[in-house]
Amino acid sequence: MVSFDHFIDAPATALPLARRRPAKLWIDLALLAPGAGFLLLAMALPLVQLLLASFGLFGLGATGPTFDNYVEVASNVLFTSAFRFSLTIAVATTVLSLVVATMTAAILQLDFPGRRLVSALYKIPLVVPSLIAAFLVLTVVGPGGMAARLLQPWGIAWPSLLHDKSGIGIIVVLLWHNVPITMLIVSAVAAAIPRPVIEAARTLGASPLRIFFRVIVPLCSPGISAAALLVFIDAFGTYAIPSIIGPAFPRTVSVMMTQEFLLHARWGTASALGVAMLLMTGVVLALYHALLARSRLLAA
Amino acid sequence: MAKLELRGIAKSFGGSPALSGVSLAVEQGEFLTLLGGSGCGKSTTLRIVAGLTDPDAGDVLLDGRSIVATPAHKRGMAMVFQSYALFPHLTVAQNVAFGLEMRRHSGAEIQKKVARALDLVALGGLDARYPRQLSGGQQQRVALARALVVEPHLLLLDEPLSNLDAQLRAKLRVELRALQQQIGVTTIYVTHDQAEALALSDRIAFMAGGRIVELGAPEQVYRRPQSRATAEFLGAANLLEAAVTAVNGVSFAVDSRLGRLQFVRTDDLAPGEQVEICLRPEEIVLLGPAAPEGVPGVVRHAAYQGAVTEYIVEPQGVDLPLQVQVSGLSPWKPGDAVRILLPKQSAVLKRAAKH
Amino acid sequence: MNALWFIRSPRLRWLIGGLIVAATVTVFVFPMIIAVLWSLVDPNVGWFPPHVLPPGYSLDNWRALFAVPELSQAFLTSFIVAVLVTLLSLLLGFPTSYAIARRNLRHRRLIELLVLLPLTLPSVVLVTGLGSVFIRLGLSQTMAGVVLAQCIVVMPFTIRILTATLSGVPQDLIDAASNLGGGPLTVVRRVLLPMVMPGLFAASLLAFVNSLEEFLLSFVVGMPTVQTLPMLLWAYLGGRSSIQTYAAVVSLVLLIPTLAMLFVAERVLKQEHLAAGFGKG
Repeated sequence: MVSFDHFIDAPATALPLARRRPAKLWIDLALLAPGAGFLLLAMALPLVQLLLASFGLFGLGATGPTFDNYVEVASNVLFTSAFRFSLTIAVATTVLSLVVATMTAAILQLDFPGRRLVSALYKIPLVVPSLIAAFLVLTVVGPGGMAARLLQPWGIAWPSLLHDKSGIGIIVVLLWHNVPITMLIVSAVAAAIPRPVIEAARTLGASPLRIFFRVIVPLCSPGISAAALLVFIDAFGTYAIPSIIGPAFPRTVSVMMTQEFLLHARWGTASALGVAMLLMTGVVLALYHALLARSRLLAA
Repeated sequence: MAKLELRGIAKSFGGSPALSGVSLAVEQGEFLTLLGGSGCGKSTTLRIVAGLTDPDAGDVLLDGRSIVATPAHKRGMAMVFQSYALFPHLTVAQNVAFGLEMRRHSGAEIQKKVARALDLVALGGLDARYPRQLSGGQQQRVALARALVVEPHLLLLDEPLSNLDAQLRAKLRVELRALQQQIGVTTIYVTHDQAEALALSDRIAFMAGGRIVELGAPEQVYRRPQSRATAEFLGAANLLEAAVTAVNGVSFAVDSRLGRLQFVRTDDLAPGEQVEICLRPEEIVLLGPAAPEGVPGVVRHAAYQGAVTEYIVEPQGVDLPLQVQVSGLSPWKPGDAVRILLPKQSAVLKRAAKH
Repeated sequence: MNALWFIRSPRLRWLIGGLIVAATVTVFVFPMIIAVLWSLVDPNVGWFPPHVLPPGYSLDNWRALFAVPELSQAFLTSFIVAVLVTLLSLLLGFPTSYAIARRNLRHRRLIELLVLLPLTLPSVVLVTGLGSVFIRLGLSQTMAGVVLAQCIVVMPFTIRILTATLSGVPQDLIDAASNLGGGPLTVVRRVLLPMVMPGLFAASLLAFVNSLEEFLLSFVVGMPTVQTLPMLLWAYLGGRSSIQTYAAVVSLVLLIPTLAMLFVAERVLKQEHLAAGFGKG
């Protein structure tokens, strides 16, 4: 589960009407302990455990201080190919989501018959869990799915998207899920563009296409980049989908990781994989914030 | 520079009519203001000219050619919006350059024209700023520069000054008029502010209920309005019901609650006609009680406002309080007896036959 | 105001509209219909290619939900866990939300970030650490373990929604109530609670649905003794063996409350709840 709204500049708190009471530290701590305290503990313990276990310390199957787990992650082709596979899927899903969603969101800004129906329907995947998404998509495009059955009379063979090495099946399911989320974010940003700004561009001689690329897309870029980050993180770490429809080789990092500890009880390598994944996610997050800071600097 | 003509424009939104039969000709180089209250159709008219709204009926002609089917971006106009509608992601220079880029001018030419346009609105040196870094007045000037730089056939302004404070509004009003006359661009200006309309325009089209009620030069619509709505919208007015008793070559006489009065004749009038005399507060003169002429009355209320003093004066024996404006500080106090001298050249509004 | 200003032909507008509607229905509604068909397939006949529609229909798969032990057990487990997670996350989350929304916290921004962290962290990373911690704590393969694990990813939503709701209560109202002689408890009971009821409702709904859908954490912590519906679905989809009909039934059982929530959310709840609440399973 990933929430996206905190990537958009919309703090849920801090209404001007709410005057805040002067702080009393122990009351604050008592209030925060059950909720934030629990989350802190529930985050910190596993992450510390993960880090320690990756160095062979303190835990199930601890071997004593070692870099072996990292050496293995970096050298074993099973793992390196897993990273390549996961990154490919994540990048492809992100790029395709953005392209499809931005175009569809642009069309949804327009009035056409049935627009309200479409705006209601496209939100369905937002609340559908990945596993069910995988099932729903497979009933249509999977082997023996509806697409294959409908095309059969014409003698067209539908490509199998189950366990395909290219990961197209995984990407299709991820897209089914992520395009609507991207659309929601991009539409929210697009809807915030003041109408006169578009009209000013029109009276200044900009054709619809140029308005789209010169005005709408640049003004939506904060939303687009936030959505990109969100989609990337989700696609990079997704487990349920590749575990069902992914190929035996290559596997995604998430699948390799769970296999390591579930099947082989190798918590060390699993943890090293986890740390590596965390680092990569961190790099992407840092990139995003650098980009954001740069654009703010430009605009400031 | 071009001549614009509207013929029988009609438009309704969701069944309720916004415009019904608006016809208008704007001459080359003219500054025409569409004036009226909210919902009178002035902005809709402007949007139809710009091509941002399609009329249900009627035609728009630019230099005699119908442009009603031409999309907005091919009309060669430029519009300044109430909210300025600057592109927030572009710098001042990029904003101003936008229209030129759309017209595919060369880079060097764009640079030259942008610099000139920014100088014209006294914004040279701010070209690298972003709109949010500018004050309201500066943003307004950028919007104006962005519109002027494309050398539009027609400059459309939709309440461009209404988001500014009063002092700045007055200053920019002067600048805008000077700029328009310098460039000579045909201009349509939409506002609900009568002072703005009077100060800026060559002609004012006063709109109400989706129609042009009155069209004329500022002095004409102010001093000789043809309808009560115009008279009241353009400034404070004391309306005096009267019946015409006699008409001769240069003047006419009426019977009213203030007795028999004589006015300078400007319209065709016939004895027996029911009229309203529009008495502007600043044209009424107060004299001392011993003065030989004027209607006797009493000062009921005085409000000193710096440049002017406003009085409510009641003619003797008649329940008809009159607004009177006297420039500067004047000696009358509430309770003082005065003589009220009514302006001889007041506008005459004909009343409907039902009276 | 028509936004489709650059397409002037009404026929073209209808065409475009029709195409988009058709595409949306195909992509989002069509699979649901097929899922419903799958759940209604007569298990004695099956539904094999090239049949475009099932040759026979029956309610056997739906009856299996109660007749097949692993299905009924998972069904029960899922709903019990969901109720527990909802209650626990509200109980634990409310004080934190109150503190974030209405108290002058010194590091409020930091605490907000901490609360959202579980949602930005890939769950597969979290679960690798959590798995071994829970094994050591003896929480592995227990329902308590599953409930606690789910709380980690459910509570951020709960806290977020409650925070939004609580900060929306004007302090003037609270002041007015105290001013009129209400003690702190009275103020909470008579003023604060009624005003945050919609938020509490939204938060519980979302917590319930999110718990129902949660897969990975429950899977690693609970397997194989504590089995929820999504874990079963995973098994039916090929993790273990491929049983399309049962997969369809389980999917629909999980989807019905979710779609109901979407419906309720769109109609009843404020936009802020919706914005704070949308997530992916």
